[in-house]
Amino acid sequence: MQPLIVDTGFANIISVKKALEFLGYFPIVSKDPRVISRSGSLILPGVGNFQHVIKHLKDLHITDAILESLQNPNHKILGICLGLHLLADSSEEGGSEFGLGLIQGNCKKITPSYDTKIPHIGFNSIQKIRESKLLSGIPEMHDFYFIHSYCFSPGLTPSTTAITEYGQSISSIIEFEDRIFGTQFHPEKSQKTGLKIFSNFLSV
Amino acid sequence: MLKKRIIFALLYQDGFFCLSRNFRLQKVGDINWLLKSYNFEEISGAIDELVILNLSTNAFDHRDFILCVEKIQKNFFIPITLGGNVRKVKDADRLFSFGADKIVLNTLFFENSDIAAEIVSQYGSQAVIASVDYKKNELSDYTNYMTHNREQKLSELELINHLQKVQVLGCGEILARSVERDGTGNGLDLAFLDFVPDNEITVPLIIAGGIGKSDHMIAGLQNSRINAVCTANLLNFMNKSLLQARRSIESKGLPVAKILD
Repeated sequence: MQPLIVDTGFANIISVKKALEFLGYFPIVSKDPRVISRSGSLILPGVGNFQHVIKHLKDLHITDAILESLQNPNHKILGICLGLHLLADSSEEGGSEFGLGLIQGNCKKITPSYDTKIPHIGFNSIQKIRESKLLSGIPEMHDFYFIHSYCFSPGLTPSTTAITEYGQSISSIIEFEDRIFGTQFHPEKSQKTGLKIFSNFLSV
Repeated sequence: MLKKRIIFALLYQDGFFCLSRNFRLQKVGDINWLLKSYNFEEISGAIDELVILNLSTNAFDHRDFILCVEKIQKNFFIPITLGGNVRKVKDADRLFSFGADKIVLNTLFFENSDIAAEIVSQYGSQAVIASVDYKKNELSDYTNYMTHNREQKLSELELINHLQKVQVLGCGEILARSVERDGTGNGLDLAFLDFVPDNEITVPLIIAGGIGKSDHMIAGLQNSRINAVCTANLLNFMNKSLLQARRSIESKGLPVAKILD
């Protein structure tokens, strides 16, 4: 299935596109609601402030298009970093706009402590806690690149499949009904092994 | 567990990649020289992040710089930080649109901190690194320096005040660089941390200035307050040297990411 990268206007679209092309895919990049609503494999990258981005996506009717696409039970989505937060009910980052509501839960700022500086930046290991489609073929406790200040709260959601320790347990992978996926880390910034996340998502 | 990072930086000016010595740039080679001396697809396995700064005298000539960025970042997948000559939100927008995950700001924090704050509010703290250059003053105290029009001008701000300021404005990381050690290859100035109380830096700290060999990286990474070391030493880490440096850092048991081939 040809992947579609949702152009959120803020994210680093180039690196996600480059990663998919390296894997041999021919991704479409689009912010056109008509194109998005018909696509079966959506990738929602994310950098920036939750409120800024969700408001932008609502104004362009992209949120409606994503929900319309997912009406089809064979369609799927992968949210990356802020893209994962956008799938949630809400986030405390910035204001009061709701998220897409595809994954139950809210996002909150990571609690700082002496050795957990905010933002959480760098490679950190992830621990599988449930059967995971995204982690297929990836070694246990592998390192992925994180760069964020907000995360799902409470850390463990019913759909969390992998966690990462950073002063608290962070949901680093969420997988719901084999079609709603999200990673708190950036697969496209996690060396070549990180790209396996994309091929696993696209072959589900 | 969060790993410590090894960051490699490239300094670009007017068509050449440069070596910086006490903040004076010396041209080393053009993009062809760079790609011949560094196989980035291979050395990306030795570093955690890549920084590329455009220090060109013609601030509006981005085209050549961007062509170089494109050529460099083929076929590897690590975070890229771009910077240099960011004076307006539009300059930041441009760097992000060229594929930057983060940008580096320095002068803007002195000259127009409102714009720095605006960039932070649009892209998030995690996307902005504050580059803070410091130098010992005659009383062997530390006083902050800024680079301005490639001349060093002493800022009226004390280092600590400036560190507080960039964090209040929302930077997500601090890149602290010693002006005196810059490009010397004599090792990092870790003593400056004695001058900056622990609680004054609450964001991740990257340290630069003086790295000439892997032992210098090890000394930096062994310090519990340092999250990452950064080198722009274009001549000391050619060919396989970065890979060898990472191996020696791993052999000291320091927590760095495991990178599979």
